[in-house]
Amino acid sequence: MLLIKRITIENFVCFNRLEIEPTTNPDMPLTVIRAENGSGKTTLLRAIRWGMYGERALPGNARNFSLHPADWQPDAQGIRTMVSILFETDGSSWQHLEGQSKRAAFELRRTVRTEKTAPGRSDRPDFRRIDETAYLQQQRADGSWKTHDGGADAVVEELLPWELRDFFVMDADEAADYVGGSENKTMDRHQVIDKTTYAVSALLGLDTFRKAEDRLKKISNEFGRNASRATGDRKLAERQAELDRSREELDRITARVQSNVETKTDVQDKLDRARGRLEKAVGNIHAHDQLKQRMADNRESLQKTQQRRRRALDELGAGIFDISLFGALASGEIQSVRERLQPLYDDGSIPVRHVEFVKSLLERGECVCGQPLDARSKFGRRVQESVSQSSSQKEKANWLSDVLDAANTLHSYRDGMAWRHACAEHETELGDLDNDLRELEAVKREIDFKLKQVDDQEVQVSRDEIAMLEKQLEGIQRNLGADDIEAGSLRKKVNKLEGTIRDQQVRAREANEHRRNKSIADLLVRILQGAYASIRGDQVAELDLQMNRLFRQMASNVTDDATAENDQGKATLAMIAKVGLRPLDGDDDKYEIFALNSRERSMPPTEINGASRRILALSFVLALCKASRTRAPLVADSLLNFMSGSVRTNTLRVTAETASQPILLLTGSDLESERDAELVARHAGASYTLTGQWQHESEGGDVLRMTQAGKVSLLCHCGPRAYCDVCERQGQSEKTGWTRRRDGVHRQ
Amino acid sequence: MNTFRATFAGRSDGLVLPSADKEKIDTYVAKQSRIRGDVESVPFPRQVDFWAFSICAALAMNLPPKDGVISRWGTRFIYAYQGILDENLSALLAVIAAARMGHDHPDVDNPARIIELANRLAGSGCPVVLQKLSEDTLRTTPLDRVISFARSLQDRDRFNE
Amino acid sequence: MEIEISRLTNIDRIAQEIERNAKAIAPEYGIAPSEAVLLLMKIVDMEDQNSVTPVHGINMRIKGMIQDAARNSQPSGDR
Repeated sequence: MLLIKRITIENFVCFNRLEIEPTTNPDMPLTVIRAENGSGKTTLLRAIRWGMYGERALPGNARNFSLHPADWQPDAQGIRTMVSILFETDGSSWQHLEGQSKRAAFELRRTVRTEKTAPGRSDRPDFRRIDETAYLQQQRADGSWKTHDGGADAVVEELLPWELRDFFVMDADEAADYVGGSENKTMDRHQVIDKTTYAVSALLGLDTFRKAEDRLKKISNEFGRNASRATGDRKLAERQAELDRSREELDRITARVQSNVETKTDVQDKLDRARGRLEKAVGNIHAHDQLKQRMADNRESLQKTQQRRRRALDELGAGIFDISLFGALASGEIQSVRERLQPLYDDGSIPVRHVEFVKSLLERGECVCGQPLDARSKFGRRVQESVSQSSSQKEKANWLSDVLDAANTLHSYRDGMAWRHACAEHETELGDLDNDLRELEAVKREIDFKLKQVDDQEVQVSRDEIAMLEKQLEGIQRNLGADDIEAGSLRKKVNKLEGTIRDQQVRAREANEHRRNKSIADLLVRILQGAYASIRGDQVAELDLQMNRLFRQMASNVTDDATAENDQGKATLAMIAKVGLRPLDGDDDKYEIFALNSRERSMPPTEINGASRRILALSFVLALCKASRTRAPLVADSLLNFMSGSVRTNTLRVTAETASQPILLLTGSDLESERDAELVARHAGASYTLTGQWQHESEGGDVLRMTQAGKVSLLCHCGPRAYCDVCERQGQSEKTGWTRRRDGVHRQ
Repeated sequence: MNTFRATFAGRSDGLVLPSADKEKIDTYVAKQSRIRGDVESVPFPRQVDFWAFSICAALAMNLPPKDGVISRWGTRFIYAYQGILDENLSALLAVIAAARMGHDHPDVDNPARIIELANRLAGSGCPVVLQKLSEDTLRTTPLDRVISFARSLQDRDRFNE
Repeated sequence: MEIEISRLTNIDRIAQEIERNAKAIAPEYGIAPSEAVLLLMKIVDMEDQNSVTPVHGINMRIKGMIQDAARNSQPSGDR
């Protein structure tokens, strides 16, 4: 519910300052603003629209449209235009439904400053508007005001959507767009349908439903996708099976390891016991080993000593055929030879050294003493004979000489001392070696004795057992090592699989959650769809009925004559049997307004006359507001144009009775009939008259008094059958039923 | 002194030991010279060593060379040309011959006569040596006995001197 | 922004229809009709606001609301 409480306009075209307080009395909801054509009705409507929507509400090229007063004398400061709309809302929303309303007052204030600009091109305005601001204030409980957080434009769009402007600030000519446009306007059908559909959807909330449904469907799909993505149940089962297998394998290995460890313990125990037995058997296993080692060392020493003894014996034995022994044993013969041959050597007999010299003397023929040595001399012949004999003895003499040399050499062995020393040395060494050997033998016997104390058989049995057990233990250890590696890798695998499965389970849970979310989203979609279908079906049907009912109310008691129109050939109200709203064939979400004749033939808008179109459009607007519980002001201009007689009265009555807060801008002629005047008097909680001062008598108009210089429009409180100094026109004082008012003049 | 060894090495004279003592000799001479047996019980590695020792024993004991036709009492165990006589032994044989024959004996440088003399000395020394070797006293070995004998021969020499 | 004024003049009827449908359908989804109505009205209202001034993170917010509702309810099959 939205009610306008006050509209204040400053410096807007023909208004210097103007303040309207529409009625909020539910029993007299109609506010009438009477104005003759050209007095500023349309400007007032435009001012309200500008206040609501800003520049876009201005017609044509908004930049060129001048908002500033026509009588403004441009100066350096420029001029500030302001429209303020004070309204009240009951705060209807889903949060506070009926009975829980929270009444709140807001003031929407829009201002702009107009500056004069240097003259430019002829097609450019010589002004510019700057600093347009719109702000919204909300009244606190204590009556003070605060700026609303939502922002003016957003709130306006929320409350009075631009697209639905004709529902709140209606130019009847434009409202006729719902039925194909006003008299001089032709619209494409799809535009009409779009406009109608938008209005129906917006006011019934179907558009929001549709958007919410679409969004929820998308969200549901997203949840579905997420669920699918997170599921992977098949893989989970596979992995679970793999995990089970791995766990079984791990259990098997663990059991095997356990068994091996037990066996190992047993074997280790057996080994310990076998070692114990061995130690007991040998006294001390290490001592036994040492004995063995000593024995080996002893054996080696014995061998070495025996080898040395053999060498010593060899050397001693070699003495019995050594020349040093022979030389000593043959010393007699050697000495004898030396004694006999040395003289021969000394006298030169051995070897034969002089013979060659004597031969040379014989060849020379003269001895060293000077005697002749020729054959003729006796001396010479004797020497020749001696030389011949000596030559024959030469070989033997040389032999003997060698024998002497040998005897002299061998003589050195004559005393046998060298041989004796050598023998003595060898014999001493042999004696030592024999002692060593005896000692070694003694040691050997001792070790043998000790070793014999050990029960070799038992030791061997223990040793064999130990070796066997050690081998067994080694095997077990090897198996344990291999199992350990295998178990390690299996454990890793199991851990990994468990992690993966955990993740997958988490994802599965997530998938469930997503599915659950999707299910909720689907539920919401279904509810929305159901509600949407109901609203669309029921409320549109309701709207359809309502529209027809309103139309029929406005068209009741109508004869063709009553519609004072010139558009001959067009369908009149009387020809329209039924009107309404219907979904478009093939598209349930689009709607169009229809009119049927008595034969239930659809009548295209172009076939319907202007008044009928207005009534049709108005019935749609009013029906839709009613059907959608839209309680908002209806500021309407030109509503009753082209209407006369009972149609005008009916329309006025229906509007006054149906709209929440009708604010109608009417001309004097609209209120000519007594019925209409009475109707207004009955329903109007507030009445105003707008008078354009430029319509003064001096300007060729019929306004009697120029109350203020300048071409401004003035507002007064005069109702349909009243006039005052501000609005009095020629002849009004003479008309019956008219009264002069002297109070409550609104003027700036 | 290479001359002596060369002289004998060029001869085909055989070295002889008494045939009657062959078995006993074999007891004290190793069968195969290269394989050293038990030196203590078999002191002589070769027959020539026993032969040389017998010659020297005969000399030390002033035994006359064994008479008679050598082939009748002796057995050749090797030929001189087989190089069995080393330089020292060859020279000693020459010195012995010079001493026993006299330096002016025409055969003093005759290798055949020198070896013959040596064979005859060995023939007379051999039984004595065998006798000494076979004197089985307690805890002595043939090697002990032959060395002891050699030592006693030298003492005899010194005594003689 | 606290909703004090709404474009949705048809709100009563909308709430009424949503409630009627929720009562018929919600139980089979394991969710209390009142909760579904509240949730949906919040969503419709947010959508309505969004058509005027974009509501930041509207999808995330609606998803969050649905998730909360899903968490706070159990599917009928689980009961």
